[in-house]
Amino acid sequence: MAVTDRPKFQTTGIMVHVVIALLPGLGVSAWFLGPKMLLVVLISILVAVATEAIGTRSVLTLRDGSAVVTGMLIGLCLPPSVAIWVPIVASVSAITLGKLLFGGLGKNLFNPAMVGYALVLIAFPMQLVYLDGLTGATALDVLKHHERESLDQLVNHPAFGLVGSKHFEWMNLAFLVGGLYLVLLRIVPWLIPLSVLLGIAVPALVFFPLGDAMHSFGSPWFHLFAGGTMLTAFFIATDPVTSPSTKLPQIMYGFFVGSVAFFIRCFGTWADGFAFAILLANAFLPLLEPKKVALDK
Amino acid sequence: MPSLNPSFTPINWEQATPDTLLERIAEAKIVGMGGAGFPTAEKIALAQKHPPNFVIANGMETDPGVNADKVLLERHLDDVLTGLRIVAKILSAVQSFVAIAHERTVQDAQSLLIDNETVRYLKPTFQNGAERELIQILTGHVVKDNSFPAFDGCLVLNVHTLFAIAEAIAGKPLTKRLVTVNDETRWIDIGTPVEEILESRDPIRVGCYATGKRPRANEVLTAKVNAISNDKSVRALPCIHCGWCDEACPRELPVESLFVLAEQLKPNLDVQDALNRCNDCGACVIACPSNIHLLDHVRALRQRNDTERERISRATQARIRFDAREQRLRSDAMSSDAKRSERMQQQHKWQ
Repeated sequence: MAVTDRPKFQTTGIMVHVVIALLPGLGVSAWFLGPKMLLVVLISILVAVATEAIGTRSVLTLRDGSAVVTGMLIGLCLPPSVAIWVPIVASVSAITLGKLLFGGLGKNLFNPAMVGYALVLIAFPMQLVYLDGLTGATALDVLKHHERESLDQLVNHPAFGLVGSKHFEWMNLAFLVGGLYLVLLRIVPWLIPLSVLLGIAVPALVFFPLGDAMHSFGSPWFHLFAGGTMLTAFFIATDPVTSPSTKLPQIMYGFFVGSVAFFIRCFGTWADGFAFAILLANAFLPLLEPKKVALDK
Repeated sequence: MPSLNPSFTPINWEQATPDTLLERIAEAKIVGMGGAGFPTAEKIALAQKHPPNFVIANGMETDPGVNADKVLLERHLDDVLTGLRIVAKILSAVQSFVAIAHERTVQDAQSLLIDNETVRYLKPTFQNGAERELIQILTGHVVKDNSFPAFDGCLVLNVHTLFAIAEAIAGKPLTKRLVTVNDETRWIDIGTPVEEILESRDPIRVGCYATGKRPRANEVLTAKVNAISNDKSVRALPCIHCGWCDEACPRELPVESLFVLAEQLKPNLDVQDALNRCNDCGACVIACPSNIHLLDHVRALRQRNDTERERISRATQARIRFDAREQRLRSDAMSSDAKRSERMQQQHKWQ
């Protein structure tokens, strides 16, 4: 009996579909960055699941599948060159600090995966630099640190690909495909990824003509297909627990995430700013969508 | 005292007077079988006082997973239409409507219709199945929130009720009804203990999963129950704030916020308007990916609010009584003072 036009999903089913949608991105990442990527992701998932089981002293809480998704997202954010203890630290802190301390799934204020990732990003920055021998550094690092080169030199730098960052543009494309799968299933509200992408593309469109050889800001296409743009837009910003569920707040939230990430990329210390953009937007969520917080009367 | 004899004599409804027919419906103790359980004879009598009348047969089965209306219309469409004509005759109705959510049955019904009868196919959504919404769709008339359909001359009766009316007029009392028991629809005697109908270790709900309630101790099947279902909400996961319940609500209520408030286990009179507007359709329950029975929470909050309002009104009454008593005592004291001084003066006069 058709009651609503939305296909019926269970929470566990949602998580299964998210994992399926992440698989193409994972495959392309492993292809370009080496099979160690798979190991990092696997360790992140196992540690996240184990932490949740130990933290709640129950295997029943695992059936929603959220720990698997959290672990998978952390693994995908980390470069394959990290030491093995980095994903372990990230996953443990993501599940404990990001989720269990708040009271478990549904009660957390911040995206658990981003809590874990931001923690290791601040604590061990040298571990998280992409050093795979192929590109030396990602295009985002080049953009930030090679300010003395001319624009032509910059674009011809080996770290740059066709439109975005070399290799990363293909990973972004794979995440875009997986993300569109979730949007078509209506698991993910289409407004959030769209406004995240607009949030990064519109400032880039404004700032790109202002840039010169000394300080390029990168074209909109570059920003859309570099770093973790698509992964964030479709998989991280759309976490139902920490994102708005009504239309206008969704637009504001997405635009906030995208533009903050752009300004961190261009003017901040960090190569990619999505982790901090997401955490900042999470903190603003009660302002963006007041009904989402418990009305205490 | 009405007859307790289960076998009535058949009445030829085409020749009988409206009063005879209405009396038989009252005598057969037919109640609204769509879920309200309101005595049908009283409802018809109410509408009778407010002509012109429209009669609507509600075959819009919007309870998810329930097929009782569909099966009834497939097997006994002619009897349902007879029931509709009997009610139309009692009211001398201007127009009769049949609203059905199953396309095949609509085609069957089309060939059986007479003059002022219309059959309409409507999509099985909650907006189309509710009484007031149905009246608006079919007749264009909007029933105000503080009024009742019968006061506006509109009478919406479930197809099961109409079938029961036709049976009662034909001399057969209402002793059983079609019930969907976990996807399987069959005739079950009214009065059967619900625990015997669906034997399972899991808890059950009387009604469909979304709108049904947990059975009370030794509850039996009543005429208004169209389904007995397994309760999925015992394995509910935490709320992930996806907002699908808000999106699903046909009356656009903030379901998630109501759920959050209900979880605080205290009354909240600020949301009473939203609680009143909720028509218990259960769309939110179906939408919830975590199998949270949101309607249970809304009902619990409504219950707590009712208790709270009762308490406030009692306190107010007590206050009014107390103030009145104080007033009375004061005025008594004043008047007795006045009397005493009067008496004293009189005493002075004597001296």
